[in-house]
Amino acid sequence: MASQTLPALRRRGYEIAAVTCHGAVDLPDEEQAAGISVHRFPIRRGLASHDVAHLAEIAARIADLKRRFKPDLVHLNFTGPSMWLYFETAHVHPAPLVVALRGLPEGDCGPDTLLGHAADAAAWVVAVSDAVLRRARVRLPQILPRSSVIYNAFRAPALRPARLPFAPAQLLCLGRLVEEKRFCLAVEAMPRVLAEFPDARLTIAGDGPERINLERLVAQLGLAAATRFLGWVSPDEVPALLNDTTLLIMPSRSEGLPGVAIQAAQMRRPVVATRVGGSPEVVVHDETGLVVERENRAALGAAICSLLARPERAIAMGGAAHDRAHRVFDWQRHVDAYDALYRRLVGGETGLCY
Amino acid sequence: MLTLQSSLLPRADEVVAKVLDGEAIMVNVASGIYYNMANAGGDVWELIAAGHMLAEIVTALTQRYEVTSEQAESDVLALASTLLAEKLVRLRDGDDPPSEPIAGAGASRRAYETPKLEIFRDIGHLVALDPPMPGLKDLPWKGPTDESSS
Repeated sequence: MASQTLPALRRRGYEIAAVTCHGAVDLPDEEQAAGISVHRFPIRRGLASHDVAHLAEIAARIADLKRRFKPDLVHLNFTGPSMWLYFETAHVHPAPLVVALRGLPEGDCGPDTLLGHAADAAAWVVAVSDAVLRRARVRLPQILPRSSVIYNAFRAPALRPARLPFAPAQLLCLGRLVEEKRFCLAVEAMPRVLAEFPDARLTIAGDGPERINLERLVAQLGLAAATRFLGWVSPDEVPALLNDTTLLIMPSRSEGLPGVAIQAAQMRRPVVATRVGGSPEVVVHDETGLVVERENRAALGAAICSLLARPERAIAMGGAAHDRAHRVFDWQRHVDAYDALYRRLVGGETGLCY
Repeated sequence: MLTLQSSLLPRADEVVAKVLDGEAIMVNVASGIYYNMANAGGDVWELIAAGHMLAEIVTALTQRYEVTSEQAESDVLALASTLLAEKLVRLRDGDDPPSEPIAGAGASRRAYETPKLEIFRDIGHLVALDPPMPGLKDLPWKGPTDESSS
């Protein structure tokens, strides 16, 4: 999301410095992309090993960046423990703080927690869905007067949506292969699907620590011929992948606001999702897809079969999903909302530290 | 009982700490709790780690910051109590080495804020919830191909 939203804000006149963690592969510590300076730090490694010397050095480098860049506002995407570095450097160049919540960590949100500190320090808290906002306001009541929803959105893909394929039907699970996504339920639903639609195929696209368990499960259930693992798919390749898909399957245990469901809607793909978090805000049951209770592989399988059995219904739902995505998850409105929020908080200045 | 004549030392067996540019970062590795103190708090931690009596630390703060003795005494005692309660420090005993003299203050005194121990009890929990992705490619930054659309 940042790789689309930030360039859009840049084109509206913002000067942006993005601070992020190093990922799993070597990328430059610093680079320029779409006019945005990107600064990467190995934060997580230091936190995991309690290496205070390493963390202090990173904090000093971020502090130096803040002294040079002089941000008028700081946007904190609350994604995990690395956010702690914000508090190490907040005193260097104080600026209004926007905290964006994609979900809430389990456990305490009290004043001595990272999220508690963030909620207290924030000039504004943005949630990606109504579900996340409601939950955040219950656990962090201090944010009530300074919080709102700004839906995630994606720019409309250049690729035109193709007709839904039904011969054979192609089912897709797309996302990080982590326990939380519960792609194992989609695998476990396949015997039921194959009994009615023997040519149906399941694609699992993405990577992560659960891949080995999913591959083992596929082998155990004798589904190797009906299942393929694509590995990591670049964002550019997602529209084409969705164009080869009949239904997107999202059996997640929890979701903030599933971006992949918005992307599926943009490509006129109906979604079978679980009733968790913000998923029902994207997938409207019986209108733009089907929503089932979580942890219920039988219900998941039945929902998949019901859509495959009625192609005209699935096609209509895909069309409705497309129209709704255009109305509710409009890209322009998303950028406008952040632009208006930032300008309100800083009174028109445009130096953003992200 | 804690008084200005007390001396404290970091609990070296459980606490790792670093002060850089006046910012103190401490971690109790036994509990996984992270702490930080900025500005005067960094000074206090450094002086505690050097084995100085709380009264000496108060004097040092009044020389380095625009703060009265009364305010500094109150703040140092309160902070010391908190550090003890969080098991970051212990009372110094007779076997500990003597402290070095405190370095002289600079020419001008800095603006003062009551030092505060910021506590983050959930870092270890969040790290456990956020495992690294083996084999997962990071997403390189890339601008949109169609610069005309927004």
